[in-house]
Amino acid sequence: MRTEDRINKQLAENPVIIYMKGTPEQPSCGFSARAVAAIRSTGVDFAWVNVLESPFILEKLPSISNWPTYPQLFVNGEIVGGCDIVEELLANGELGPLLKQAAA
Amino acid sequence: MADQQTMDGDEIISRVKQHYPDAVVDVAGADCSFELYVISDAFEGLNTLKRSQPILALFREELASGKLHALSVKAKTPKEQAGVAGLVQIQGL
Repeated sequence: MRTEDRINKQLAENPVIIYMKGTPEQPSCGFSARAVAAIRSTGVDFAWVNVLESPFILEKLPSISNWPTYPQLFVNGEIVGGCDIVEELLANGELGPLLKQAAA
Repeated sequence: MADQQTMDGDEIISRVKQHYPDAVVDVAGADCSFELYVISDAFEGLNTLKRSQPILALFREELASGKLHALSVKAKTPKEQAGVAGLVQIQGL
């Protein structure tokens, strides 16, 4: 399957998905760890992809999302942003409602 | 040698200034992890994602190669920035 099709399939099947370095249990990067912690605090289930084990996705995703770094959070197939934006939404009280309506 | 492998703060500021000539630009950090403050009217009406994307795009190559590992962007309009300062003053009264 083409990398772009793989990504589109993942986005279509998972309303809340984070592309990160490492895993939620063992993040390989502090920014991925912080984004996962923020998402977890909402109690919403989420899917994740470890881009360090998917080099084709690591390389391709930035051109699709127009976001050059990891982590990247997607809700209903749309890029939300990286660590800073996820933490900003949490601080504003917007993250929980955004993820909950997507997962519902 | 070192400056071929990592970016320095001045390089980051001058690249942002080329694209946002009227902006106030400040940078903090070292090696390959930086925080960037950009204050410009160009951000009026845009959310954080839409403000960050064009700034990060200026560093696409460096972010992909690892020359730059992390760039945390704070993008404000002058009005928003003035609002922050105003709040501090009120608290001081």
